[in-house]
Amino acid sequence: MFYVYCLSDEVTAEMLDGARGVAGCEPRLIEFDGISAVVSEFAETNIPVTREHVLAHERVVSRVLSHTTPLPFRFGTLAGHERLESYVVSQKSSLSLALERVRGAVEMSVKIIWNVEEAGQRAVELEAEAVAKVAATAGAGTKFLLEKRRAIACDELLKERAERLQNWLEKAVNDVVKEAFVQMEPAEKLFLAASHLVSREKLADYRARVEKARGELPELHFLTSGPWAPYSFSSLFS
Amino acid sequence: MIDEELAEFEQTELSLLETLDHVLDRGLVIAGEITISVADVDLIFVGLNVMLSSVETARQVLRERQKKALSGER
Amino acid sequence: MKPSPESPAPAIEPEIETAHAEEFVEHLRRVTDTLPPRINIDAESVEQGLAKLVLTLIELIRRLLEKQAVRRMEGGDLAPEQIEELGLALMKLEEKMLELKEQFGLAEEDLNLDLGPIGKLI
Repeated sequence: MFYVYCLSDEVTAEMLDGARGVAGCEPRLIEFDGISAVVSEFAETNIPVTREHVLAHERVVSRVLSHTTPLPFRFGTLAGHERLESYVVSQKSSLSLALERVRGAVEMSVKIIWNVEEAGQRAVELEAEAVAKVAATAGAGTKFLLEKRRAIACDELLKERAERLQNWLEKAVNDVVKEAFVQMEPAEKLFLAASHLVSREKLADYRARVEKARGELPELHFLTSGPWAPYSFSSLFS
Repeated sequence: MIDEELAEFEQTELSLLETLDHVLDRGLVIAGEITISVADVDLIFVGLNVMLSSVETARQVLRERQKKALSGER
Repeated sequence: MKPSPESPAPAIEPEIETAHAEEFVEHLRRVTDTLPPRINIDAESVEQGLAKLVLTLIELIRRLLEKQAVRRMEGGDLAPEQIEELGLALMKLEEKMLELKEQFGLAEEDLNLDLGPIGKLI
């Protein structure tokens, strides 16, 4: 069984020199007609998600990343030689396209938490208005609908806010980013997670933009991380 | 001293969680089986807790902090 | 993350920067907490999977009905008794959905369909 880390058409054995992978095993290359897989021996048939294994995975992938941009596998990918070979061979054209898409770039991550209080306040105002219009003897059905109205209005305000945040961030980094993948949870504590595919030569520029954005709105709490291998830009069907 | 320890613990846990966020849900998948052994969602935390250094210390620190916070509220 | 001692070559270790570690730890914990458990293909879970699908669609329609009802109420063309009737009916519908969810052991978050790039259904 192999633990499979990533695929690349530029990786060489020297790049892996002295590296230590999952379960302390040395990673090595297996070449399949131009695309190589970085693998290491793995004895069991499944792998628990432990800190040690996760960091070992990331260590090997980062090592490759420092030389060239690979297509990283999801953590925990185990495969026998035949299965790995059939995967790489049958997906050759998709994989080549995927490698081209990420060539010379890295993934950077921006997460933002925004404690949105005003949305809650506005909803309270709406409720007060509605209640004032309706007599205290309003039936259960009417009260139910009023409560739904408040909830819906609140939701909509939050969604609006979420979109504004997303647009603002996009404008801040648009021209230094090749691709973006954004996930959002419009909630009282608004959470946005953006993954950016950034060319290595634009990386310094990108970092400066993000720092600037960080300073612009102090009520936004930022978490930035990277560079990562392009986990979010490695899907074969996009 | 306690605040420093807590900060370090948080930073370590944050590193791990942020890494997990990247490597667990995305990346290439060899279609078919899911080979990650997560018998129960809790297992991830068991795994994390087991591997984090001085977990008991950290837990104690957290408990103390919580106690402080609660008594502060009164 | 410190550079590992056995790798002489300079690895790009991802840096993680934030001034709000605790907040993000709390959030990320919740995220990793909701990862899908091992996928089962026994009879019970197939049935549950089907129930999930059906209930998700019903839930979607139910929410659209609620939104529509609120709009009509705001529109002002409904008499107070009509509003009351409408509200009671939707209330019963919501109760029924809760019962069904309980019956199948499904939580609110379970009733959703991830349509990939289009996003979630609900």
